[in-house]
Amino acid sequence: MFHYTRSLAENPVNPGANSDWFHTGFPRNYNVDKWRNNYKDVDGGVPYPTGNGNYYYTHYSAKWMSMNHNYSGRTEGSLVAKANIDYKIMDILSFSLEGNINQFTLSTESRGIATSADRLNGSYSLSNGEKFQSTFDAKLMYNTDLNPDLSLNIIGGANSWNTKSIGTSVGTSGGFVVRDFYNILNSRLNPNVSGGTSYEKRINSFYGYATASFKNSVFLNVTARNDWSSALVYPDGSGDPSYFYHSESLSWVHSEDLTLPSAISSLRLRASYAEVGNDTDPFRISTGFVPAGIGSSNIPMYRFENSTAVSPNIRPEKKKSIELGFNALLFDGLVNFDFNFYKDNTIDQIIPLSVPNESGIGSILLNGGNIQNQGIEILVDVAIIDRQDMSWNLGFNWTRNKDKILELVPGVTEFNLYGDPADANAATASYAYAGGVYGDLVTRKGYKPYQATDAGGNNIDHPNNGIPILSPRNGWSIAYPIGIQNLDSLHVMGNMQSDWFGGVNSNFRYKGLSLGVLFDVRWGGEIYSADARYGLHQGVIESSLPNRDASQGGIVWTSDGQGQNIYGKEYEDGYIPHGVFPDETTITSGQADNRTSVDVGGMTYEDAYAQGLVEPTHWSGYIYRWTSASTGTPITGVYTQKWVALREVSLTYQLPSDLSNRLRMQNASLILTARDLPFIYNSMPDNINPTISNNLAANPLQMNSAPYITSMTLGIKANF
Amino acid sequence: MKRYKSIIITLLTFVIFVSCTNDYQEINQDPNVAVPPSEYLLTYAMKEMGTYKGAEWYHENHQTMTWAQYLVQGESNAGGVDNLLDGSRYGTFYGSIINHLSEFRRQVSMMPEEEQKIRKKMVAVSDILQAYFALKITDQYGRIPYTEASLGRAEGLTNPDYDTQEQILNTLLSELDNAISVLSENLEVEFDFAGLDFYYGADWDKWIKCANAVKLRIATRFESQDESRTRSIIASVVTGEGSFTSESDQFIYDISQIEEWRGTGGADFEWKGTMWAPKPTIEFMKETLDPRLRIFYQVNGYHEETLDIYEATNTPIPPAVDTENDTKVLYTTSEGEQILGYRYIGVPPYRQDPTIGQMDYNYADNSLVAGINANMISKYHQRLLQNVDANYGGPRLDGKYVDVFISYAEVCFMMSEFILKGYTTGNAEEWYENGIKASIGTYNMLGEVQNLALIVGNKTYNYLPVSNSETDGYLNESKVEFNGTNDLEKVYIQAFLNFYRLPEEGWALSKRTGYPKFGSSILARTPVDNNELKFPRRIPTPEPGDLNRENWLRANSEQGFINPQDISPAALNEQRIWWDKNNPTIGSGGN
Repeated sequence: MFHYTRSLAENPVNPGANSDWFHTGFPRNYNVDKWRNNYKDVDGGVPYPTGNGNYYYTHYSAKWMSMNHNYSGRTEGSLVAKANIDYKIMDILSFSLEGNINQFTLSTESRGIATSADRLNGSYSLSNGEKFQSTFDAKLMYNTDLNPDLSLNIIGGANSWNTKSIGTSVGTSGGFVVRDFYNILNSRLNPNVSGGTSYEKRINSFYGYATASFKNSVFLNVTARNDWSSALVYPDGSGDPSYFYHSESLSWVHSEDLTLPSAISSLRLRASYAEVGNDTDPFRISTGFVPAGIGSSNIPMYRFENSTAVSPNIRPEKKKSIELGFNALLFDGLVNFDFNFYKDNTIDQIIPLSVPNESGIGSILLNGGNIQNQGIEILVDVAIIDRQDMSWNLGFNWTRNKDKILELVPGVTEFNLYGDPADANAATASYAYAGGVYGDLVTRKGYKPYQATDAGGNNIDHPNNGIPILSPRNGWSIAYPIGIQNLDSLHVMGNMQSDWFGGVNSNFRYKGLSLGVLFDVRWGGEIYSADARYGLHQGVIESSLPNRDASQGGIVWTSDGQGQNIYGKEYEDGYIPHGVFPDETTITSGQADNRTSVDVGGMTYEDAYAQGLVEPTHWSGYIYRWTSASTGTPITGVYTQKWVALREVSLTYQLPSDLSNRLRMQNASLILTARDLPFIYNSMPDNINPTISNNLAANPLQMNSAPYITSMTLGIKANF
Repeated sequence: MKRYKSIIITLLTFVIFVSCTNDYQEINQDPNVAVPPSEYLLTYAMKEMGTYKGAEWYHENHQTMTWAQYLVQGESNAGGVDNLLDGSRYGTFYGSIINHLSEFRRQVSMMPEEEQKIRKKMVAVSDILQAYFALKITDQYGRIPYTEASLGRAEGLTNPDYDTQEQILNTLLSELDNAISVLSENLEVEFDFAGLDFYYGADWDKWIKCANAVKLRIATRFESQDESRTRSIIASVVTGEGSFTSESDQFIYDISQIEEWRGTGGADFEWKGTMWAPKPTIEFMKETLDPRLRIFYQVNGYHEETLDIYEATNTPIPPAVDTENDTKVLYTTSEGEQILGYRYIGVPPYRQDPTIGQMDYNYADNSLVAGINANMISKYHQRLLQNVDANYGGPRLDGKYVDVFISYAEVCFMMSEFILKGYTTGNAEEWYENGIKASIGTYNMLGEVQNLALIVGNKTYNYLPVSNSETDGYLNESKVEFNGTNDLEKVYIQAFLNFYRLPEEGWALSKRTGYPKFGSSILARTPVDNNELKFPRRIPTPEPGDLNRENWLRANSEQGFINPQDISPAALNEQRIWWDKNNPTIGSGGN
């Protein structure tokens, strides 16, 4: 048996972390329709100079040029082949040999158009790679009925699994020699070349299964397996590649002997305990040095491959799971109800434990911890109508999952899962704490709470204690609560784990016409949205509109010249921020030759405004500063994620059989499908797409997401 | 039965195959990593010491250049100029330099004795490199892990203690002394290091001079804590092999010998606002006809074409550009254009200056525009600092990146200062004049190698090399001449100017000496605001996590740092590191 597929994808859209985005300064009044067709100069390049001053209109020409002329193509091929021999030795004993291969090939080509003044900064790159997997398996199967009530099924086998990935990539470097000539040899500097074996692993195993069934009502399943993985062998040959694991599961299906309430037409209970051993990625415990010279320099230079040191006694991981559940068919099969509880504990996980950089390394790869993952899943299917001509069913699913770290490595209570809480831009990370929560969203940059002090500098009680401290711009023309590095600890802004996930699906059919819908729900869990934060910062999203001018509810006032406000001028973007003036703050206003100051230290802005001591602040300056990377805090970008998405709607028309028969088809149908329709509810402001910037585990950062893309397909399905 | 036999044989063969793990060691050997000769780790660390990597300019140098008043950030040092953002240097030291240097030494120490012996001097070089860089780190961070640092991989030590700064400085001195004595030995057989050593081509005498230059820098750090230690360090240098005696001895990172290298992109340097030249420095350099003026700062776009446009459109020329009186000829370009005084305009670093916001200054930055919106204020020379790739929107310019780590001029100015203070004997004037000549000579070398051409007012200005007569004339200027009045201040000011391209040393000089001082008649520092801002004098060490928090907290509290994560300018100004504790206030001219 073999199977081959080949596909080419061109210019795919990147769902998250796009390089240019609306909050990078793209003005809302930019005339897209005009400039999308007028981005080239007379000889076909991007007009120069670009940028500011007189040439502002050319600012985005390079983006149009890249968008319309860059190319990236990705060709994938997959060949799957399988051969097997089954041989019956005697009635109760048979033997089987099986071999599988899977060859996956990938080649990419990309062209980057030149956008520089000399039009020579184009690029061209190619890559080719193959992933080859082969499996050989031999097993003996024993199957017998010991007596009419008890049957036994035993399998014993051996398996060898091999995989290897290899590839090369080449690309131009430093632009081109000749304009628009997409060829590696046209590279201005020596082309970049890389490649090699990136992945190679073999796992050999012995395994056994035994199934016993009693009266077709009680089933017992036992498995045992020993693996030998190459990924656990050190370069010097040390390390034990062998690990053993097993599982037991018991299920009971109600039999006729037992009378159930009439509403329950069938019931099945299940319980299982399983252990799974796990190795690690190949080469991970094989460390060394990599070349790291400058370009084509003649002086060889090598550095450590990475900053992770490897413990000399890495053991395989072990995951222990308990699962309990039941399935019930109710009301003559009208309702199917399924409940499942699970608790997984991963023990001795192979983790890179962060260590202080001053030790010369960033982390040590070692076995550690006990990570627990626990949850429930509920599934309900209701067949509301089930007739020849018409059917309608409705399904619900609901899951709730909580991850926890029960213990880490001795002496370590916190574990950085993703990101840097002190980073200059997002300043957001996700952390796990031993014995506690997993996925806390933390930052080092928070507000500075006000604390009143007496003359001796001692803290005293004050109603304004704890309210964020304000900071000025332009001599208190603008006031905003400033974000500063939290002094003592990480500030927790939320937790990324959702409360629950759910889904609803329904299918309605009348004769040959059927309509299916699928809803997806996520409820709870915090996310850091750079798009929301910097959209406010740049004033390019609707949420930034309130208070912008009188028509948007901004306070209108005539200025007394507070700070750098112009005396006597009428402003209409007034806003009263929430915050406390630092102690000893004086605010100066008045005409240039007659300035006076008032002391507002320790007062809230609201109070000072109510007492007529200050003017409103400017909304535009306030929101710019409040959300800025340098003076704000990521708290302004943290949102609770709740959404209801209409994931799919499909309409199917099954051609009448006489028509399809006349077309010499057994049956045929037309299918119209719409996927990812707009959110029905989305708690993100301005309907921002909550797609996070990459798929790495525990990543809470949403940034530069593509707009939510709805796709529609029309398909024809026919059998001959 | 025969059938069963073949099945059993097949099965057995397979079982034996499966249980065989002989080739596992080979399969899991990462083909992408190597075990290179040890010296290639040394060359890597040597390369990583350059400042070309961008982040140093993005944060650290960006900040110190405004604090030391080499540059003014945005309009008159507007908001956030005293904010600290720690940069990449700390991470570079532990993550690229000390780890590879110590691994290099570890590998050598495991070689047979003969092999170790021929590499002795390379090990000594690795000690000098490490001491040089460690000083930069402790200068900014105070107590850091040093003696227990970088033992994570080899010994599993993940809670290195924080040495006191005095211990660190003394350890560096003894490592340097040891390196000097090893480098002075006569070895019959030596490893051929010349082709790998892009600093000195294995010229051991120059490495000794370099080690002594680092020692002199360390000597200045002891001054306000232990003057006798300062004296003894200087004595050990001058009675020993001495330090640099000419520009050819300088500790220079010249990657251009092996590679066309231009540093990284440049716009980031201005992420907090355009970086302009400060008025006091511009006025000083114009008055004294300092040849480094055109190397440090960019000429403005007020050439004839621009002035003609002003006239043609009947637009008054802004008062900051005094085309009537500010007309001293600063120099004549190779194309014959006379550059007059008003072609270099600096802005006041003082926020409350009455001229700010009165339309005196046009803060537009458009190299490619001539006329009303042409650049009026001088910027830092973009191709000198950080980005040799800057081309002002024009065609690509040649030029290679060079980093001067320790200049001969720096050594000259230190020696002149030490003699004037009586720490050692010699001719302070001669050291001073040699220092000025060497500083101008080295900046001229940078001007040529980095090709300090620029486009301004939509006109290209090629680099004009410095002539000897310019240097001689400069030495005779009254604010420069060593003549018995304010000689020590003049030494400080020349040292300060020489550190333009090495702003962390310029800032260290300001902290150590209080110069340039407010109100000076030579070159004055300007207050930034009415209540003068407290600029950070140190950077807090990063929080190390659970494994080493205890040591970190103790090191902080023992240094008197109340809150280890406090990055408020006041805390970083008032709670100081050991060598800075007794130093004067910035600008007070106290030492």
